[in-house]
Parts: sequence; C-alpha cells; structure tokens
Amino acid sequence: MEQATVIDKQAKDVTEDIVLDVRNVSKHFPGVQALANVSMQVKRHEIIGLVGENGAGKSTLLKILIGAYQPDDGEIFVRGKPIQIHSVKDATEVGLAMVFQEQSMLPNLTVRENIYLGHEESFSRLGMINWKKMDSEARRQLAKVDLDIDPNTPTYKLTFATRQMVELARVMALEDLTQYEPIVILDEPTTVLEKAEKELLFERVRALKDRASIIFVSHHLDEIFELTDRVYVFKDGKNVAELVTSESNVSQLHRLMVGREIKGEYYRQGKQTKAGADVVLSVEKLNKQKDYKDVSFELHKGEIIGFAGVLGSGREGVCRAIAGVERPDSGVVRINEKPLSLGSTSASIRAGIGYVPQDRGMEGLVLYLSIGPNITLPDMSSVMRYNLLSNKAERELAVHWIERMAIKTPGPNALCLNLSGGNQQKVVLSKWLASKVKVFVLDHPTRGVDVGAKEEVYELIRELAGQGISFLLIADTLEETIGLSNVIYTMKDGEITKRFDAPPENKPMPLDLIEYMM
Amino acid sequence: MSVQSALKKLPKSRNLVDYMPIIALVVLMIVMAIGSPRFLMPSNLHGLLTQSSTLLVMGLGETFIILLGSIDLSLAPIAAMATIIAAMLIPSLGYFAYVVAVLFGVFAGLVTGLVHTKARIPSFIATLGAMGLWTGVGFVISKATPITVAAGDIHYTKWVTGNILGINNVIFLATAVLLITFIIEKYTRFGRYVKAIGAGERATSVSGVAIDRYKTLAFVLSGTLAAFSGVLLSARMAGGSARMADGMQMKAIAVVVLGGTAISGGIGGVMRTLVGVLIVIALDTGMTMAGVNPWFQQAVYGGIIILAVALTIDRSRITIIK
Repeated sequence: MEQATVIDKQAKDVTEDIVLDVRNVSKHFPGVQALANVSMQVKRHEIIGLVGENGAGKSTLLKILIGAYQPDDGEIFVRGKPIQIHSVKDATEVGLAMVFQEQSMLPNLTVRENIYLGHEESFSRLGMINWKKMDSEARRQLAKVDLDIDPNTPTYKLTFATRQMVELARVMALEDLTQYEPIVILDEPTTVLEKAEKELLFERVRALKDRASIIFVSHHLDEIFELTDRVYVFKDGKNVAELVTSESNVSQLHRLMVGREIKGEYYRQGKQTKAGADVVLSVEKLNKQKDYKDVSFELHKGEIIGFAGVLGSGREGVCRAIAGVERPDSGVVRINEKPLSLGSTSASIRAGIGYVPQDRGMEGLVLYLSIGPNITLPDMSSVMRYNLLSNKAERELAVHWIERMAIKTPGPNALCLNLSGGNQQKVVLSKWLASKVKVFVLDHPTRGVDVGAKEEVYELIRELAGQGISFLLIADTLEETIGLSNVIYTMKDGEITKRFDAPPENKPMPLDLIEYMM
Repeated sequence: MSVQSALKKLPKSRNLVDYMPIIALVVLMIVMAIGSPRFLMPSNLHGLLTQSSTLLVMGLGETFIILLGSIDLSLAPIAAMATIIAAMLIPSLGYFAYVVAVLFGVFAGLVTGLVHTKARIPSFIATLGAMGLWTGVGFVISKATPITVAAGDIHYTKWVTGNILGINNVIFLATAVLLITFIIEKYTRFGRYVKAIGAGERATSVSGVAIDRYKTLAFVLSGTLAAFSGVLLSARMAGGSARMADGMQMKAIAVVVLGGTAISGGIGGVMRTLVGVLIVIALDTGMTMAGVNPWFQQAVYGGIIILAVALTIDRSRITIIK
C-alpha cells in the first residue's frame, strides 16, 4: 500500500511536466496495422525526435494528433486532461499544431491573414475585421521567430524558407490565442531547405524551446542529434525505443529502425532468376531540379532493380520520369538503345513501359469503369473488329485476365471500384501485360494490398521476370526491396549513393542499406 | 467482408437512379393520357416528335460533353448562327448552304475545344465566352432581322420538311443522328475514351490516352450537331434568325441530365438523352394543357435541371463543389 502511494505521488510530479501524453494508441487501415499500441510523452520545453522508415507509422500518429485520423484505440492527454481530437480546430484549441511538410499556407493571402486564418474572430467587431490590430499582433508573432517582414505581404512573394518561418509564427500565435504554450509538430521541415536556411530554422526552433514543446520528425538522423533532447524510434507501427539523444548514436538508431528478419521464402527468393545480358533500358544523367540529380543506371532483361530511399530521395521522381508522367529537366533514357521521348506517357507506353502508380484509385485505374475497359485503355486494337469495338471480344479478354491473374470479382462487368486493393492491383498489372510491356515501373505495388494478395503479387513478379520482363521497383519497405530485387540502388537527396548486388544466396542486410539512405 | 456487403448495397441504389428517368417518363405518359385522351393519338405524337427532333440532335451533342464531365453553353448560339448562315446562303449556294452551316459548327466546336484544352480554360467559361461571341456575331450578320427563305427557294427545305409514308423526314434525320451517335458512343475509341476521361482523367492519361485530342473532338462533335440542329430548324422555319434557338440551350442540358447522365462525368449515354427528350415532350404538353404561362416554362426547366442533377450526382466523387 505504502509503495503504491509513493508511485502515485511520483506519477503526479511527472504528469505536471508532461504536456502531451499519448497512451497505447492503435490505428488499423485495410491490410495494415499502421499503429499498434504506441505511447509517447512530450515534456514541457522539450524537443523530441521521431524517426522511422517510410510506413513506420510516424505520419499516422501525427495525423491523429491534428485530428485528421481518429485512433481505433488508446487515449491522448494534453496537460493531464484526456481529449478527443476530431479536427485541426480541436487540436489548435489545446495549442497543438503542425508545420506541414508540404506547405499549408495559402499563397494568395497575406502573411497576417495566414497567421490568423480561422482566428479572425479575435480581431472582429460587428463582423468587421480590425486590420490594424491584426497587423500589430502579426508583427508580434513574427518577432517570435525573428522575422522582420511586413505582415501585409502576399505570401506567394516569400521564399519557401520564409513561408516556413511564417508557419512557425502562426503556430506560435496559439500561445496568445489559447493561453497555452504550444506543442509544435515539425514534419520533415528541412526537405525543401538549403543548408543555410536549415541552420536558421534550427536556431529559431532552439530559441522557441523555452516557450513551447516541439516534436521534430526527420529522415536526417544528423538533424535529430543536432536538435532533440529525446528520440522515439518507430518500426512497423510500433514504438520500439525511447532514448535520450545524447546517450545514443546514429548506428544504434539505424539498428533499431530496421532490425527485422526476412522470413524464409516470403519474397519467393528461391525463384529469383539471373538477369540477362541485354540492356533493356538505360538511363543517363537524368536531372530534375529539387528532385533528383545525375541519375544513371542500366536495367537488364528479366532484372528487378529496387530503389531504396526515404522521402526526398528522388526515387519516385525518377520512376515517374521513366513512365512519362513527369518531364525531367535533362537526361537521356534509352529503350533497346532507342532514345525515349521524355514527358509523354504514350511515348513510354509505345516503347513498352508500363507504370503501376502509387495512387491506384487516381492514376492506376478508372474506378468507375469495369475490368475490361480498364485493361483495353492503353491499347484497344485487340478488341476492335472492322474498326468497331467488340464488346464480346472485350468481355472475353476481361474473363481471360480474371482467370489468368485469379482476380476475385463479382463478375466481368463489375466496376473496379468494387474490387479489393489486391484485385485492383491485379487489374493494373493485367492492363500492362495485355499491352505487352517489356518493362514495369512499380511504384509501391503492394500498398493497400492485404497480406495474402501481396504474396500473389510477389509470385507474379517472379514469374514475369523469369519470362524476361524487367522491373524498376519502389517497394513499401526495405525488406520488400531487398527480398524482391536483383540489384538495389540506394538514393539520398536525389542522388544514387551506392549499388548493391542482391542475389538470393547473398542478400544485403537492411542495415547495410540504411547507412546510404539517411 | 466489408467490400462484399458494400457490393450488395451498391447496385440497388444505383439501379434506382438508373431507372428513374424511364419510370418518370412512363408516369408522365400515363398522367397525360388520363388528362387528355388526345395526347396518345398518333397525329399528336407525330407532331410532338417533329417539334422535338432539333432538340434531340442538340442534346445528343451535349451528351458527349457532359460525359466528359464538362459543359457546353454555346450550342444554342451555334445553332442560331447555322440558321442564319443557311438562310443567307441558300439563294447563292442552294443545298450547299446547309453544308457551309454545318462546317461552321465544326469550326465553332474546334475553337471552343482548343481554347478549353490548349489555354486550359474551364469549359464553363470557354463556352460561356463562345455563347456571347456567336450570339453577337449572329445579330450582326443578320442585322438583327429574321431572314426568310424566298418562295422560289423553298424546295431546298423539302429534304427536312417532306415526309415518307406520312412520317416527317426530320424524324428520320434525328433518328439517324441518334443511331450514329449511339455507335460512336458504344463502338469507337472516341466513345470509350470520352467516358474514361469523365470517370477518371488522371488514370486515363497515365494509360497513354491523348486527353486533349479527345476532349477537343468532343467539342467538335457537339458544335457540329448543334449546327445540324440549326440546319433542321432553319429548314422547318424556312428562315434564319439570331433568336431562332432561344431557350434551347437550357433544354439541351435538361434533356441530358433528365435522362440520367451524371453531370460529374463518365456515366450515361445518348439513349438516356432520348428518354430525356421524351420526358421534356411530355412536360411541355402537360404544362400547356395545364395552362402554365409559357414564359414560366423556362423557370420550370431551371428547377428540373437542378432536381435531376441532385438525384443523379455522385457526391462521393466530388469533395469540393465549386
């Protein structure tokens, strides 16, 4: 009994200092447990770091904190009080706000309007806004981040780095609007910044430390060590470690983030085939400003090349350029030695490249069409009879692919909208196989696909590689990249940092790769 | 499991919306037949179909635009321009005047299509501008006065106003256009791509379809059919005027959405527009019988467009309404 009271008393002392307490929060999405029983505490005037691979659950937690998602389970306490956060408004009312990775300022509004967007009532009387008052208040907020600009400047005229400072000022304005010290979430704030701008940001963040608490998310571990007091490591939706930053080091964080076994034949490694000698696709010095730089590689017949990298590594951009969805600034892509006309999906398709995009509902499929029309979208010639579309031929084609790919559907005429993620993905793959592509660009091919269907996709990739089809792969996890690929390129800040051979008997370890990614 | 249960629900609700136009048409027909036994008499129906043929032709063009998820507000002014061109040129060109009038529609549609796709101006604004343009041009070249086809030239209108076995030629002509557009919609790449663009433009583009080309072609088709409906109108009225197609624009949109083609794009078709036209015929007759002020009939159509769209729109696909 006595002991229990002591613990209770201790707990009370601690809670007074804890401004944000996340307890056992879980969140499930179809096919993936995004967060499992995650707990995290942020103390007053503390900067904590949040690290983890893509898909570790960091973003999900942040979205829960600002009310974009609702947790399935668990509790959140702000300054000791349990709260339900249903919207950004709920979050800001308790002083919780995020500086977004993609900037959330409205460029057409002025700085002061952006700072007080949604809080105009503090300045209005009989429905009229007192601009003078807003002006002087905005100046005070800007001063907190040491920014000396006219609050009446339209935001689009500012550089990205300055806009970010304004965003920070906006969050700090909560101090006055709510009477609480804000809890500031910085989500990958350095992605768009130059080196000097980054230093400036860090300086300001440190200066804000004695009037706010800060959650800092970054893929750059050096930044974590530079800025934070404590760090939480996430992996597979779990919180795997909570460390005092000064007592840790980069390699410990690396180990914690990736330490996962690849089980047996999950990725069908036994069926991995050797790549042929012929170069199918060659990429020379592909460039796009602020995305990727001097990317060159060769893809051989039947080869699977995996790109490993974190957000901002540029790997998505490279793949989208090869698929023709985005136009690079410069560079040459050759297919069977013939140069590819860049920036045109139809040119890429004609050259035999099929793109399986990350956003399946938006770019992969026309959800409001059935399977057959989706399959024939790139090339209708096989179902044209006497220059007219034959519905019979198209239905037969749909039935063929439904059987060949084991697509589970209520019928060939069902809209793709009504298929599960895995079956939708099989339709996307069928579409390109029916168009006889030779190279697949797979951008997160197993995203939103449930576990069983994932294995079917792996099986299929192996089978097609065995038939001489080549793949560029951006996988959901590092393990998937390693498990599936013949060759892996790590990318960091837009450049290829290293090439790894990944034969089935001698796969590189995640830890080997992550060193070149972060 | 949740997908399965969602599946069971979905077709039912969709089917109801799908069949609503037909149900509405049948109900209206019954009401009309009860209200006025004369309504179902062949001579009366024949007259109604004759009158509606021009509207059907214009509505068929609008159907493709709405399938794209766009809108064309310039069809009635294009039709009016076609009546003027035809009436003005018959004395010098004869039948060829009608060809010129239709070619004007091709040109006008091409202009809107290119403005919409190349300058990336929303179809609503591009066609609103075109509406102003062609209305103004029509008034200027006709000097704001109706043009009449002279008695000596009236034989040039007979291909429209004549009849075969007692059925007016204009009905055959409109039916031919209906069949041609049905084939275009169901059996050509163009028809498929128009629906695919309306249902998912990004995915269609990533599949290598030249979006701009097919969008432009759709505007060319709608402009052409609008001009052809103007030609039919001109022949039937034996003249041309900048005001000849007044009131048709709203009806052309009404017949498409009343038939159940979704304003959000991708879902619907030309046969639905036929149903829409038949509903409008029944409504027109009904309102006339009920003694509704003709001026007020426009207001009724305004309300009906909103009602039809409210029933057919798929709100899950539209997150922000602008």
